[in-house]
Amino acid sequence: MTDPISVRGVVRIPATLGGVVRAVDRIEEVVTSVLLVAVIAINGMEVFTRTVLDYSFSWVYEINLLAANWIYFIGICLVYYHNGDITVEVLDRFMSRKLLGRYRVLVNAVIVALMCVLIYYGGVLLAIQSRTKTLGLGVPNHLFSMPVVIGAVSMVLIIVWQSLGLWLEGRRTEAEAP
Amino acid sequence: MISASIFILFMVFMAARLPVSMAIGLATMLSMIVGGYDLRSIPQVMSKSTQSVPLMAVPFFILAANLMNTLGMTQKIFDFAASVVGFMRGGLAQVNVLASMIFAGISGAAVADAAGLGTIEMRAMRQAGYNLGFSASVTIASSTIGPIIPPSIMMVIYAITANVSIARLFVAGLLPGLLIGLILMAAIYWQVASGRQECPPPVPFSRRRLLDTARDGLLSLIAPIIILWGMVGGVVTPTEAGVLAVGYSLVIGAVYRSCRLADLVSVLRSTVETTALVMYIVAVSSVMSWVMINEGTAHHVSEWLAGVSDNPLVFLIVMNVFLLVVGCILETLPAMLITVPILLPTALALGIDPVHFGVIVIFNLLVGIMTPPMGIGLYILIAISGVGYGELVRASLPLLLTLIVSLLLITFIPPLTLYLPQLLLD
Repeated sequence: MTDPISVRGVVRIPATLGGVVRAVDRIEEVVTSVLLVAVIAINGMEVFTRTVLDYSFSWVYEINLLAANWIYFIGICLVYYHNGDITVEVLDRFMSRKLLGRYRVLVNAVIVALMCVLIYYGGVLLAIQSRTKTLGLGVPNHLFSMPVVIGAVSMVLIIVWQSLGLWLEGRRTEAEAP
Repeated sequence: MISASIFILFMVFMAARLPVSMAIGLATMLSMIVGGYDLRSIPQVMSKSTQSVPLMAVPFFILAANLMNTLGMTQKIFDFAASVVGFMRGGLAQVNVLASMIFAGISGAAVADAAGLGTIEMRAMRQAGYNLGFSASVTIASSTIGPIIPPSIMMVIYAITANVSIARLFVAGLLPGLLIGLILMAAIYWQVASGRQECPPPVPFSRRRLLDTARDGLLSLIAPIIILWGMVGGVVTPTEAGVLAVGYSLVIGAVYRSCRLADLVSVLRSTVETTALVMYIVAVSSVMSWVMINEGTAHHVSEWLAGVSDNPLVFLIVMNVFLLVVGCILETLPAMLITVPILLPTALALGIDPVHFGVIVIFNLLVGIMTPPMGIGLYILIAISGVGYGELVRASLPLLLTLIVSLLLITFIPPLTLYLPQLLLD
């Protein structure tokens, strides 16, 4: 049987990480929501000025693309925060709860590995793109790719936290078993 | 070889419980390593693929539908539909179909349809004493209309992938959407009239009730007309039509005083989540499509199909069978993103209109969601309604056959799809 004290000691890690992840989730929620509202306002204004005042803003196009990328690639972290991605759960029927918990940790490890590859090559891409700017507003090109990398880092944090929770739950179940 | 390995690995990873976007990403990355590709292309293609203004219609239409659900407009649409067709044989089953058709004119997202209208429909039918399996099968069948009647997120993404006009595709979906709805209603009528399906007696028609519900729901009922008029009239682009839909939903909320700040915050988060989920799949699928293009997959498939037959009708039959199988295994969006880049060049070479092709592909994949044994929609309805798998499959079969008949009509009668775009946009 597992020593409950050692389990208690480990509780601090996911608890601290949990605090960080919750704070990051909140920031991401605010950033993406504000960007979404801003994009709607900008496009609403563009429709109004174009149809009523016969005037178009040249910067709307680039701002739209930039904001969209931040909404999409940061927004995906909000989905992973509560395991919201589409998953086929056929295997669940054939596994015990304990085995399923361990298997989910394994799947999470694979996702973390994939995200690490994305972060590494994303970093290389950012370094290359930081030297160039868009032709219109002169927005640094790496700002368009940056949310891909930031989102991947945030997803690693979330998934590691969730995996620690799953592992801890398994340990606790083992410790409480008669 | 590389493309085949992506497809096989993707299926394996999906079955192994990896989330769909991660399954596509991992399958593509491993195949790229084997094929000697530079992995720097992954973040580059992902970032570039979503930089599209037309794609921004996706969050706008999702937000509009979420607002409609939150502001209580969905219930008003359901009440109106009940007063229009609730007296027919099949009562609330007919209402279920008509309400889905009306809501489809506002919402572009199947998720919002299921979360809002689907819940209302299931609850009303259960309370009225309708058979659970029948209620669930009607709900799932009617949900296939949503992405066909404009606005439609599936159509926006197809239009970007296939490089066709979004407005043209939206208008092309109108007649097929109405046709599917009418055929479904006829099938329900026949099932009840022939005694194959028992239903509670319908509510008698009341002109007063019709006028009351029409007055209550008037603002929501004219929303589809405003959205379509804006696009067809050339006043707004499809993306801006999404903004128009959001603005209009907020105006309705203000008029009915049902707009609370706390609700808006939750609607924004839910919109960001749904949008990000869709767009992340689009981003990783773009990397996969990029590899497939580099591998010349579409060309190989085209050559193989040309060896089978150069008759467009044969191609459409083979493609429909293939897509029905794919649609019952995969979620609709990734299925479309995987198959369209492979099949479209052949369709174009055979003289099939890309707009017609798009409507066929989208509807076919939607039919797949209620095709046993793997149809994803079946499992969603089992989770929502608690109905047994066998009962739902048995109840779904007549409506599934009805949808397949509709699919065949849409496939083999191109004017059903192409007449309105030619009339209104050429």
